[in-house]
Amino acid sequence: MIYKMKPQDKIVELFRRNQHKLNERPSLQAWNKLERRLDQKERLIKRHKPTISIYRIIMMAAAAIALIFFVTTITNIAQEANSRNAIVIHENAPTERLITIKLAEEQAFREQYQDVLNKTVAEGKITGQLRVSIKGVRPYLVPRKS
Amino acid sequence: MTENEIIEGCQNQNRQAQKALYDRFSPLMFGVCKRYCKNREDAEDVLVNGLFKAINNIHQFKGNGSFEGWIRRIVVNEALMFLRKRQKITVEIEEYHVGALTGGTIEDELAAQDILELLAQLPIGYRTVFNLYVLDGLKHREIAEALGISINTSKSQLILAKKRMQDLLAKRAYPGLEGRQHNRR
Repeated sequence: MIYKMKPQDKIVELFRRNQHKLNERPSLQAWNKLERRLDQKERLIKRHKPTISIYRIIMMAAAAIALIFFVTTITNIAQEANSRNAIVIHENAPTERLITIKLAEEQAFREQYQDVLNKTVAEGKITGQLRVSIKGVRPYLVPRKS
Repeated sequence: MTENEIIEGCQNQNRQAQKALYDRFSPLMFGVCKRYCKNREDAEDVLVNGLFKAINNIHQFKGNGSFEGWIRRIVVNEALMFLRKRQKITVEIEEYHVGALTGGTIEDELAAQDILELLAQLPIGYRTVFNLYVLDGLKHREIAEALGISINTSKSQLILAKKRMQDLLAKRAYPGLEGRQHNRR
């Protein structure tokens, strides 16, 4: 087979020059078919759009509550670790009064009650006095402040 | 609507923009489909499939090159897929001594129906390569990749297609159809 390309290919030119004559509006059915397919696609997209079910809402709420509880517990533990409870008891008072002092305040608290902090409850009968116990430490008697 | 508005509208699934795209490009793309398919019904099916894909994949158009060319590529690919499904695209091996093309008496004007009739008379392999190279602007490398043939086969098919076309034109005593006025050069 021998072939040789001519610089000007008249057949190519002929077709290229006249191909625009093939342009033609398709029938109305063509748009209708296309539109139906586009509608189908839209419906499919909407159907598979993720929606949040009531079950999922409940689970998310439960998870949020559990998280809050967990965070609160951890925070409380951390606070407890960073604070001490001082139980201040007023003699003859029906109930103890629990105050919480922070570790940073503990030094000042001990200085305030330093006279009695080394004494134990067992030392004699003392009336009219405050009893202070720091959590984790044996209770002490503290003179009531006048 | 401007082209950018059409593109943006189609990206937002706007029906007006989709219709505008159809109105603007369907005549040209229908012409493309008619060249590949044997009848109008098939050509419309290919057109609808091609434009549907173009609209759905509009986000893939990055603006490098013409929008019309991008749609045209999709439609041509759709036409090739259609041909592969309907009938295998075969390449003809012919022992053909092809001399230099003369084209001395070929008329400058070709009616739409003539184009379709002439193309329809080409074997499917010739017609496909002819369409892809001459009218859709693909290079032989691209044609070879699209059809699963070698570049040399693509080139030889084109040569054979042009020779066959020349013979067809000569048989028709071209210029034009019988009874039509024409001018000879």
